[in-house]
Amino acid sequence: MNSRLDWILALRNLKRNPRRTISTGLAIVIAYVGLTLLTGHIFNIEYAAKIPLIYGNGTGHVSIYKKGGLDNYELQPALYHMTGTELEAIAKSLEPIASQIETTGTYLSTQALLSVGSRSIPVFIRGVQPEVDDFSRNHPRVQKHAPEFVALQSGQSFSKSSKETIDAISVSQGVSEILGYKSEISALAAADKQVVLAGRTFDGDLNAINGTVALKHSTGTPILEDSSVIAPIEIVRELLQTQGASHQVLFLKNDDDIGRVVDHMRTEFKNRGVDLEAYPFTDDRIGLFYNGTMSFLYAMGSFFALLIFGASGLIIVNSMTISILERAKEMGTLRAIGFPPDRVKSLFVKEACWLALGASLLGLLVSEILAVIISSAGWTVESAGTTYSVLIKILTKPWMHAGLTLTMIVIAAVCSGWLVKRKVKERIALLLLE
Amino acid sequence: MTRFLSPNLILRVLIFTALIPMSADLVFANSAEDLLEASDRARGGVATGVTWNVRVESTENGTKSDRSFVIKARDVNALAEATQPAKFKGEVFLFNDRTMWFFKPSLRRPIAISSRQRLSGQAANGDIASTNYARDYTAEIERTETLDGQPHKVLLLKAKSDQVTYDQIRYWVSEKSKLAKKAAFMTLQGEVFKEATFDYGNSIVVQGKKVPFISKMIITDVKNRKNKSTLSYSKLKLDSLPPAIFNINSLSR
Amino acid sequence: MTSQTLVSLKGVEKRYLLGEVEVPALKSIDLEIALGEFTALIGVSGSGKSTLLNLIGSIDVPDKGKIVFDGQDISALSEVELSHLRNRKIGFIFQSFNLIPVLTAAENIELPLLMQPELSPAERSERVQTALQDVGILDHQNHLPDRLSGGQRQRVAIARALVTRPKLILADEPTANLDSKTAHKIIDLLLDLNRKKNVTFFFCSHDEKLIGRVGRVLHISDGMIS
Repeated sequence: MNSRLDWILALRNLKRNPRRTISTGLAIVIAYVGLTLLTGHIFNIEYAAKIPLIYGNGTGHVSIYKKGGLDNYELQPALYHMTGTELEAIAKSLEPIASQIETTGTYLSTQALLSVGSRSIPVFIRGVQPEVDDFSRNHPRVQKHAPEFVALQSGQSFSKSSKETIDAISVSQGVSEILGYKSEISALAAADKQVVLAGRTFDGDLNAINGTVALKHSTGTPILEDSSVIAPIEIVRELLQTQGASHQVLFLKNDDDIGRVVDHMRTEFKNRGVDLEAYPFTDDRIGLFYNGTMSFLYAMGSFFALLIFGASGLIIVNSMTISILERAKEMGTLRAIGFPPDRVKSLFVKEACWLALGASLLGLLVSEILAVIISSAGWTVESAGTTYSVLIKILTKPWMHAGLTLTMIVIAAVCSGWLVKRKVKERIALLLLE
Repeated sequence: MTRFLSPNLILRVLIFTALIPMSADLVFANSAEDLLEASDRARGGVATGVTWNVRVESTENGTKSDRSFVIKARDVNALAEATQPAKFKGEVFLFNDRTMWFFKPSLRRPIAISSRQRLSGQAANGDIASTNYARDYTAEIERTETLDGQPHKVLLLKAKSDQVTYDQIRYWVSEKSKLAKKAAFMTLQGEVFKEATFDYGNSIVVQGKKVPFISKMIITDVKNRKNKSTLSYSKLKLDSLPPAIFNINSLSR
Repeated sequence: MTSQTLVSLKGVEKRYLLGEVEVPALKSIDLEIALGEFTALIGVSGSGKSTLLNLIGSIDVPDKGKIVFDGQDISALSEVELSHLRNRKIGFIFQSFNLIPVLTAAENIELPLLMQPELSPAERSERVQTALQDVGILDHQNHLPDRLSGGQRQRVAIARALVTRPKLILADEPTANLDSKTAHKIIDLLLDLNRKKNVTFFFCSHDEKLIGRVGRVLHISDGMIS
């Protein structure tokens, strides 16, 4: 029904008042660029918050606990740890979705006392498989999205240290400061590195094991930094006198699969009759800081997006109002030669669409250039939940641009259509007189 | 007859009776510490060296546990070696004055622990060794109470430092035998959380005298009376223990 | 009444609101236009001639009376039906040409054909070329209106009105903005088209000089036809 000439006419109409077209177009460009930078910044913060959480601190995308374990394991580990049978059930449950899993980790966590000489400090030990710890903390995504976090790590391989020293442990920066380490771990005297870790077995009896501080790491989080110790799971098992685990963690290939994987695991657990529960890292008990940061950013971002889209709509309405007033006679002429009101309306809508498209494309170009400039500037922003300043980067994605462009076009179409609607239905004779 | 009621005699009697209240106070003012010291002796505080076995049988939330130790005590030091069950063999708790250490052969060095920490069931680390309440607590006599037909002084003990096992203890000590019969262990705010009773079926010979010694201590959780630990003391004997065995450095090789 | 009646008006009235005062523009008009006729409606400014033209062309609505166009009572038609009527049966020529300034002559002429989806692009193109030829501006087909003279622009407007092969062409003072030489040329063209293509013409003007050349002349004053 609509021909090529309609679109050509609409495009050429934009040239009738170049100043108005350019100023309206620029306003849309600015809106587009503003939205891209805002969204790109939020994406960056999202990655900066979740990547260290998932990989850097070994939380994984999905955590599996004994039912009630997420809340109660720490207080009653004897009741809420997972046994070998349960770990096997997890392994079997994972088989159908193996293609979505990058790797899994078995963890045994406990509160403990770390003792050097006559000093004892309370710590939280994460017992891990050393290869899994290496995998998660050296993951390429961490290098890419959280270089500031990487810069805080010692960079050594835990599994390598673990092979050399059977009781090798890694202490966090905060712990190392409390212990009074003044130099790099490798430069310390042997006596200073040899520690004793004391804790309670699952039966509640006091037990202790040797540990050798071989590495330093950073949790990147103020609340964890003063008490974090990473140890091979086998020595923690010896300390707690158990072969069990506190939780199992899944690292997925794709962040978007989290919901599906959690649902799958829950179904499998129900079908197998095992008392286990799967949680995404976005559960408040696991990723509270991430949730808090992101909900604030999304809320703020949505608010600003709404404002910007609203302003864009108003700018188009403003620009088109004058256009319509000026071209009433033309509308009348088109009606007189047989164009029904809707067809006349669609000409103005097409014109607005061209403007929105052109401005969006220009906006795309400008925002991409700005994104590169800002991302390379090395600016940082302080963050309450991290021990380091986060690099300011603008992360853009093709679907973001597609979405923004489409939204701008839709806003243009809707606003212009609404505006013209009444006018085109006026009596033709009156239109021709204007 | 007049010789009997001579002024001299009357004066002496008057002076004597006037002095009685004063000397009574003097006698009572000493007795709190005195009682404590005496009761400590019956609970292991022997200067020369004594060895005994203690067995801790506990019921905790339905679960039973049974641990045995050999205790070597001398003066302010004590060494507890775990003997039963076999998995704990080689574990050692050392009490040096007010510091405590835990050690087992696989460890490179001992680890400092607190006397307040739970050892097994209702028994804290500080409960299994000898007591030194006279040294560790200030004592005040609250009142007198009759237990099992015998008058007991009820002492309120307040910790002299925060390294001792309990912040406050209410201690029932027999006036006659100077043995502690009952204890109520309290928080700093005065809330009772544990209670204990003592039996003294053992005896040792100290400086030629036969002295009663603790044979049983039953500790009960006040909030849940089903949770309790029974410490049974046996194989008591005097021993000349070399001071070196209480040296922390002798533990790690 | 030898030819067929194309348009018939009976008791048509139209009033306008001038501020708060109601002004009658047309007072009870009865009129018939036959197929193939070339009629000129002469009247001074304010006589109601443009109003009458608008009513015949269905671009305005009478307050009273009935207008029948090609057998249809146009008051009974919906807006879409009226658009269809205007597109296929009526052609308009305006005093100020009313060309779309951003379209070339050929594109302006093609515009009304966009509402006839049964025509292929080739057919549209052929009709446009024919129309350009009929009005004699084939050489200027790719020029924008601002590059054409007044007379050329009016020719484009005429071609646009013709291209849909309407039954009636309405022209509102088609020569008012042209010099007299050009005006005569345009009238000649219209007469020529009337003869050759048998298109019915109804145009209004205030120029008495044109009377002599036209077959039927109607006079209108104060809203009434004499």
